[in-house]
Amino acid sequence: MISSLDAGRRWVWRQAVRTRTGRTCARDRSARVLALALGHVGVAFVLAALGPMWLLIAGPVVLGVPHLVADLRYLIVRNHRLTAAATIGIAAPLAAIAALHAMQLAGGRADALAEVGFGCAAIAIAIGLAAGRRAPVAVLAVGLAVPALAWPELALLALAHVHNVVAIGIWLWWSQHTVSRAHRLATISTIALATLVLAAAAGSPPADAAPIVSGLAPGLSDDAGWRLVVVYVFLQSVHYAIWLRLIPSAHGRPSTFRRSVAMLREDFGARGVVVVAVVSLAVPLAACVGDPRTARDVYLSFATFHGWLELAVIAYLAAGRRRA
Amino acid sequence: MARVLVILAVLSWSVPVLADVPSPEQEACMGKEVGDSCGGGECAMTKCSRARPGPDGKLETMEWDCVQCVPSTASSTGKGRIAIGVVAALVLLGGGVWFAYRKGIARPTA
Repeated sequence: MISSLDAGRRWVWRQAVRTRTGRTCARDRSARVLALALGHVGVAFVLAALGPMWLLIAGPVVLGVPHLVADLRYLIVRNHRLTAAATIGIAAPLAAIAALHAMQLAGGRADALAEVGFGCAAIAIAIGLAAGRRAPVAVLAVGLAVPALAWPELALLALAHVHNVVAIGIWLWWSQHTVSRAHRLATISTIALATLVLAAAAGSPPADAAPIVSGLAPGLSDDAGWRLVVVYVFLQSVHYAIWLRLIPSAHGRPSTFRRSVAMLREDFGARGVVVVAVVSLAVPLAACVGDPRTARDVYLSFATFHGWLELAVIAYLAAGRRRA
Repeated sequence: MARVLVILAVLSWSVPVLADVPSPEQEACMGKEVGDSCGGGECAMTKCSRARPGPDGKLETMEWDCVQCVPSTASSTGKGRIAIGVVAALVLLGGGVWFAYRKGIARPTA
């Protein structure tokens, strides 16, 4: 299976290097990442334009768990600046968020204030355990935490939308030494332009979009809410591409599938790889066998913690920076 | 006769009082909040109503918001929900400890 995938990969590269662009991509990592980025943004744009409702469900169901694994891999496992104590310190409040969502799925009530409280606690612990210039980051965190705790429902809605953009920010930060400024600028400009075009071109919402519009864009008119939903779907797909393709590409050389599996085993252990494979397949399988919307909702409910994880690790890394 | 009148008077007075007595569903949720478990269901904000004779003798129905026990659509009870929550928390916390352990910094001391 893996050998076949690698054979296919070799064939694609052989075809690619016949072109000038392909040869440039083969020898220049920055150009390769740009090509990958433009390709993925293009696919996300087309899918978001043609079938946003479909993408809204298929995206999290198919790519949700793998992107979560990439999230954990690059934020925790390969993040050597994150200490073991910080890992456990951040995980504790996030575990409470997972518990809240699990209980909600089992028929309990949503508690936005508790979730925001635990999320802020994770960020506070991360800043507290960082060794560097903590004060400015702490001030900024408090400045954001106060309104978030005052309006927790609004804060969670904002997090859902901002979360997709956070991935872009993380990629920009982490790729500054491997991807040229011009290529990063071209990527960001393309994403911004595609977002504007989608927002402008989105028509009226389909009949079955009402729950999604009211969930992701409460208080807006149907048309304005639908525009926001389409933008959300597009940026969600872009953020999957960033975690699954762009961040790994910015981290190292192009790798064979065999080498990728070996590296995954290195990062998560043999049993960890089995768990990753089982859970990655379980969600799409559940969507095929049962109700895809339910599979998506269950996945999103459990995955909510990773939005806070990203903020906490960003805060930790920012607070851990020392004076030059 | 007087005794009969007294009994009738007591009964006629007690009917509206009985109407103010919380129903078993309301009683099950006394001191609880919406979403808390109650016997075989969960407390939910619903409409309670009662009918009383108005000034013209006709029945007037009053409605108000009240918390009462409704059969849970989800099969899990409060304890079941807590158990599910604890499992989810342990999975995530266990993952955090495992990652910390794999980082090789926080190795458990035997």
